[in-house]
Amino acid sequence: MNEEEILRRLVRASGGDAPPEIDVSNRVLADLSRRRRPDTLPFYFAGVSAAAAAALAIAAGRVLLAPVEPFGDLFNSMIAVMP
Amino acid sequence: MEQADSRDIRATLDGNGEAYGRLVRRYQNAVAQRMWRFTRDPRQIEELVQNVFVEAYVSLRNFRGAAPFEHWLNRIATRVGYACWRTRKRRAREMPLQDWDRLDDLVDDKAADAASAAEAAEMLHVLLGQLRPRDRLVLTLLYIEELTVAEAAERTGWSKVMVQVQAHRARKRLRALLDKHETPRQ
Repeated sequence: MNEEEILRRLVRASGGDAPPEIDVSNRVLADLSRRRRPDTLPFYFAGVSAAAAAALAIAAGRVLLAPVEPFGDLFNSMIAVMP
Repeated sequence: MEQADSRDIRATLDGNGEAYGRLVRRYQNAVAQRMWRFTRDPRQIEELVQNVFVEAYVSLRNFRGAAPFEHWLNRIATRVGYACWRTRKRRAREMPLQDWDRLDDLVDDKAADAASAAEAAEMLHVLLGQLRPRDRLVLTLLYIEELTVAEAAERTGWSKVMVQVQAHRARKRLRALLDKHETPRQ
């Protein structure tokens, strides 16, 4: 008897063998809702990071764009040390 | 595709969890029957069936509806079962010597009740479990599920030639295993 015949006979002999009845619907839905929640976490961090970056950009913009008086303080300090 | 499936898939994609619950209840026992070829552990089968439905949910937007929903689930079930074998391949147990003797009776149709059906299924599982996952998969699809080469290729994503080559190699390795234990010959 070759291996194919042995396989076929074993399959025939196992006909009618079935797994126990199961109900996983609640477990599947619970698993999916648990998976969905952490998905919001990257968006939360992305939002927080974007807000922080925007605040930094505004602050940097104010510093860079503020009218600067060239050597204003230096002139005052030079006057102050003159007799 | 059945109307009920189509309606529930659309509702699921619109965010209706209960609709997906209906799909799970409709197909879970058919999927369990399929996963029973990948594990004989009643606790693990629930885990595998759950994995199949979670994976199906994640990919549901890719379901085109060209083939029945159950066929699409079968492809996912095969992938999940194969992954299970791959992770457990090191734990495959050897078939006890007395089982090799019992194999004679089972293949000679000397026993034909429900208990021996379960025993034959268990023996088939242990016997194929000694092969590599790829060999085991191709033999399971061709001889247990009785798929054609084209159907097995569609299920696995392999080419038809690849299925044939893999099946030839798997049969050769099974032959070597059977020869080693001097199984019945006629």
